[in-house]
Amino acid sequence: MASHVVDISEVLLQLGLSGTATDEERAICTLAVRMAEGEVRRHLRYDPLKAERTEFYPQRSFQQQFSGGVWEVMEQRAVLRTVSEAATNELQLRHLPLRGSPVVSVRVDYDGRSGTPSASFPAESLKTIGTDYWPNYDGYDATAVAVCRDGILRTIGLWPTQPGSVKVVYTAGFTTDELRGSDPLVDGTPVWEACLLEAVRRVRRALVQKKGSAGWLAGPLTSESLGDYSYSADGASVARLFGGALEEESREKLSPFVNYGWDLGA
Amino acid sequence: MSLVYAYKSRGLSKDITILDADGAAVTPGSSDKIRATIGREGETAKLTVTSDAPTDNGSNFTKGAVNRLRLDALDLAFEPGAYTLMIDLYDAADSAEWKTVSRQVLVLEDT
Repeated sequence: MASHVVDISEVLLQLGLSGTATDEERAICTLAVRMAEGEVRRHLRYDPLKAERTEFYPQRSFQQQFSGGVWEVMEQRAVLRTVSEAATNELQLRHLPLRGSPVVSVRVDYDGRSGTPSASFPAESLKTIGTDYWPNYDGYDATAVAVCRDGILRTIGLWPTQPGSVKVVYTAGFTTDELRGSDPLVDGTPVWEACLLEAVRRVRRALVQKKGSAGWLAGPLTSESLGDYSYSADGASVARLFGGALEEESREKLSPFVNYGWDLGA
Repeated sequence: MSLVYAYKSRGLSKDITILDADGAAVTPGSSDKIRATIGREGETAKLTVTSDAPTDNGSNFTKGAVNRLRLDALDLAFEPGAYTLMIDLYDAADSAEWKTVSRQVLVLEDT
């Protein structure tokens, strides 16, 4: 079963429902946690929970001026297949931060085609860490395991530009304890806090929009009068406080963790 | 539901009454078992105590009209924070399977 960034018990505690939550309120919290984590994953461009990943790079074709190629025959035509270009010696991985244990594994196969051929990425395609490539480590966690916060793999040569020709198996992300600040060296607390805030917002939205005994509730009361009784509800504040998009506060917390490099270079 | 408050590396005893859907107290039978699990969704539990399997540190869950859950100080030495305390009943007479009795919020405060 997959872990979650936030536990329902934390959401209930923030809402003041830890001792009184009904089954319906628990169900609302369960859905809110999933919605919030999904929104945060979308914003970060990756899943922040620590796990092993198998991914193929690059994801798109690049057009560069200087290139090296291989002539091949396809039916009645000669085709020049470009396999490497003077593009970059950096490979941006998607999930952050990259962890040094287990050791990241890299295979390069120009006919790899993202692992679809049965004979793709054979044993001889395995590259040697420290010689052919190395993670851009920038420190160690509390257990003395290396950490690469920017997720970049460097090479002494060139990374292939043929999509799906590089297969990377690596471990990245934060443990649930690191997300709660247990390791001051690898601290993912803002990610956890953003997920918690967004989950709480979504619960509040559901509770505000929940049908009351007198009908639908439109939002917080902004005014009320007694003679010829009337009241006004603030729909705009409902949209701002209980809306679906990430709040500005959450965006600010997540900003240092967003993988902008993935957007630009993958 | 209730909020269960505990302190890291400090023992805790709590009496738990199991109620059925009509609010009547349920006393586990001789073949039944009760279980308390502390953890978070999707993660390995921090602590599991079953009536027929006390922990090595002495945490136990004793069956009765009022079931007593004792959590040893050594078993409450994990990271402080909010967790879910799950109380389950193994109903031997009905499908012989674990059934959820309740889920509480347990907060472990650092000491």
